[in-house]
Amino acid sequence: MKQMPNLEDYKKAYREFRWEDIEKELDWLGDGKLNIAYEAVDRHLKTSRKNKAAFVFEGKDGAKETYTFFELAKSSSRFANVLADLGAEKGDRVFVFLDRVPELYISVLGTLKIGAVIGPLFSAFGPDAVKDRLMDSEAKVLITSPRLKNKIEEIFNDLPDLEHIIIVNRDRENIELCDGEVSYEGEMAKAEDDFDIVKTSKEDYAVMHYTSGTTGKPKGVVHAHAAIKGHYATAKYVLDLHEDDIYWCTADPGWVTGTSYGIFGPWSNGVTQVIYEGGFNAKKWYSIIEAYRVTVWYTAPTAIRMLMRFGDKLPEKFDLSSLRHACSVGEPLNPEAVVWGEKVIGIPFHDNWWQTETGCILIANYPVQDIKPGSMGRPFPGISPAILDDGYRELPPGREGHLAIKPGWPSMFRTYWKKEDVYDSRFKNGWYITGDKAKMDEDGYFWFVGRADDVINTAGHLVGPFEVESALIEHPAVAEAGVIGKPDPIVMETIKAFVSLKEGFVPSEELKHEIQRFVKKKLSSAAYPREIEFLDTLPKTRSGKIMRRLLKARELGLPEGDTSTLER
Amino acid sequence: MNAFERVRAILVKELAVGESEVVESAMLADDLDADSLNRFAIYSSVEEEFGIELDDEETMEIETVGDLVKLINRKITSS
Repeated sequence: MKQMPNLEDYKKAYREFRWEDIEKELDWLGDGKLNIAYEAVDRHLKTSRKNKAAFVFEGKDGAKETYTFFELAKSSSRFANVLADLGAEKGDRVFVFLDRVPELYISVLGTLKIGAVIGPLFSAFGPDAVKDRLMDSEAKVLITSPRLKNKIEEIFNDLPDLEHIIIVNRDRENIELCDGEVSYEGEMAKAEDDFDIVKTSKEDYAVMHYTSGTTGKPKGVVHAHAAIKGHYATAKYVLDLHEDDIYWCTADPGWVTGTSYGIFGPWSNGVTQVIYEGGFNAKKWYSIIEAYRVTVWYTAPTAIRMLMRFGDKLPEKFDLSSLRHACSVGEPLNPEAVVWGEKVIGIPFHDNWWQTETGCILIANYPVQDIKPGSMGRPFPGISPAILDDGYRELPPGREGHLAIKPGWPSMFRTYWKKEDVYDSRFKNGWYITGDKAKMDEDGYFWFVGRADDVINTAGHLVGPFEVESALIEHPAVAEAGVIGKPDPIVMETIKAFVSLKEGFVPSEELKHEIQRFVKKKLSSAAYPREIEFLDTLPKTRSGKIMRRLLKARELGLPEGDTSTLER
Repeated sequence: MNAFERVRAILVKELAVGESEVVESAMLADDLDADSLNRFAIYSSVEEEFGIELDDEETMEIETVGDLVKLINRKITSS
C-alpha cells in the first residue's frame, strides 16, 4: 500500500505553516533551552524508539555494527564526559577528522552535549586545508585516526590553540601517543555513560562548516542549536521520513549535507539510517539498497550520473523495490537523470536546493507534486525566496536574477567565524543574497541559472578559484595563476588552471604533474586543478587583476565581452 | 612499456602523485588518496589504454596497484 506523504497538500502547508508548530514537535530541555544532540538522540530514550536501531554501519571491509538510540545516547554521553575531563567547555571548537565510522557520529553528538561547537572535516582534506580550518577556528580539540593524523602531522606545531588530539584507533594499530594525545578507546573505557546535557540556548553556536568563496580562504559558517528545527522539519516533509523508513544519505559528514541530513534530520525524526564507510561503487551501492531494504535515499547528481554511466543492466540484477523516495542535492540535477531514475531505478530523483549557509533545504521537489525535471522545486513552507535584480529589487516570474531568501528561518547561519563584515555583506535590502542566479516560473518553481561569482562547483563541492590560485603561486615555478571551472558531464565542472612560469622554468608534463601534486597536498583531492595549461602571460586588467572571465570565455569559445579594462 | 608502467602513467596523471609513490603494493585509497571519482576516471583510462572492459564486480576487489595490474594482465591474456 502506497504511504501518504507527510506533506499532503503543498499549498495548504505553505499557507498555514508556522515554525512555532515545529517547535512543539521537539522536546526542548526545559526553560526554553535547546540542544541538537538531545533532539536527535536522547529524547528518544523516553519512548519505544529507545531500542530502535539508530544506525546500521557497514565498513569498507564489510564489518557491521548496529547502534540503538539507547546505545548511541550512552556512547555520546560517554564521549561528552571524555571531552569534559580534558577541559573542553561550552563554546570551544572541537573538530573531527575521521573516515565515516561510528566514532565520528559519537564524537559529533558528544561535542554538542557539552555545548561545544563541532566542526566536521572531510577525510580527503590535505594538511593545509585542515590547518587553515583549525587555525581560523582556534580549535581546542581534534578527533582523528592514526592514518589521518600522519597525513597532517606537519601542521601541529602551527596550532597554538590545539590542546588535545583524541586518536580513534579502530584497527588497534601499534601506536605511540605523543604529548597532548589521548586514546579514544582508553578514555571511553574510563568514562561514565551518563551526562547532563549542557542547557544550551537556541542561539548558542553548535556546528561549523567551512565553505569556499570567490576571494580569500574558506570561511567558517556557524549554525546555532535552533537549526535543528529546520533539519527536523525538512527531513520530515522533503525527505518524507516516516517511522519505519530505512534511510541512506550518501554524503560524508564533512559536508553540511552529511550532518544536516546524515545525522540531525533523520535522527530527530527517529529514523534508522544506513552508514556505509566506503565511497562510490555502483554495484556496492545497489547491493546496499537491496540488503538493507533502503526506502529513502538522498544522494548527489555526480553520483547519479556515474550510476547512469554504469548502464541500465546493472540495477536489474538487484531488488530495489524497497525504494519509496529519492532526493538529490549539491548541483542542479539534469532532467535526463530524473527520467533515468524513474525508468531504471523505479523512482524519480527529487532535486532540492540549499547551501552550507542555509543549514537546511529551502527549495524542493515534494513527493506530493509533479517534479519539473531540471527545476530546484518550490519553496519549503516558511521560506520566502525571490529573484532580485542587480539593485536587489524583486523581479517578476520568468526573469533571471539573484536568488535571495527573506532572512530569519531557524537554520540560517548566524555568522562567518570572525568575519562579521563578510557576513553582513551577504544581506542586502532586507534579503539574504545566496550567490546563485536563478529564475522563477509562473507556477512558482525555481530554476538554477548559474553562480553570480566565480565559485566552481565540482562534484557538488564548492571551490573558490582564489584558494586554488593562492596554492598554485606558492609553487616555486609559478609566477601567476588563473583558475576556472570547465563544464564536465559527470562532475558538472572540473578545475582548470592557467599558469605562467617564473624565469628559468620550462613547461613540461612533468612540471604539470608536480604542480598538481603540490596543490592537492595543500588543499584536497577535490580542489586541485585536473588540467593545467601554461601561458606566457595571463590576461589582466590594468590594475593587475587576472581576468578569469576572459580565460573562461576563450576556453569555451564564447564571446569575450567587454575587454576595455584588459591590459594591452 | 609493460602493463605496470602504463598503469603507473595513468595513476600519476589521474591522482597527481609521484612516480616513486606508485609501487605494486601501494593501496589506491590509503596510500595514493584515490577517491571514488578518481577510481572511476582511472578505470575509464585503463579501459581506453588497454582496450579492455572492466566490470564493477572486478574493480570492487581492487585495493592495490598490483591488484589492478594483475586484473589487466588477466584480461589481456584471456581476450
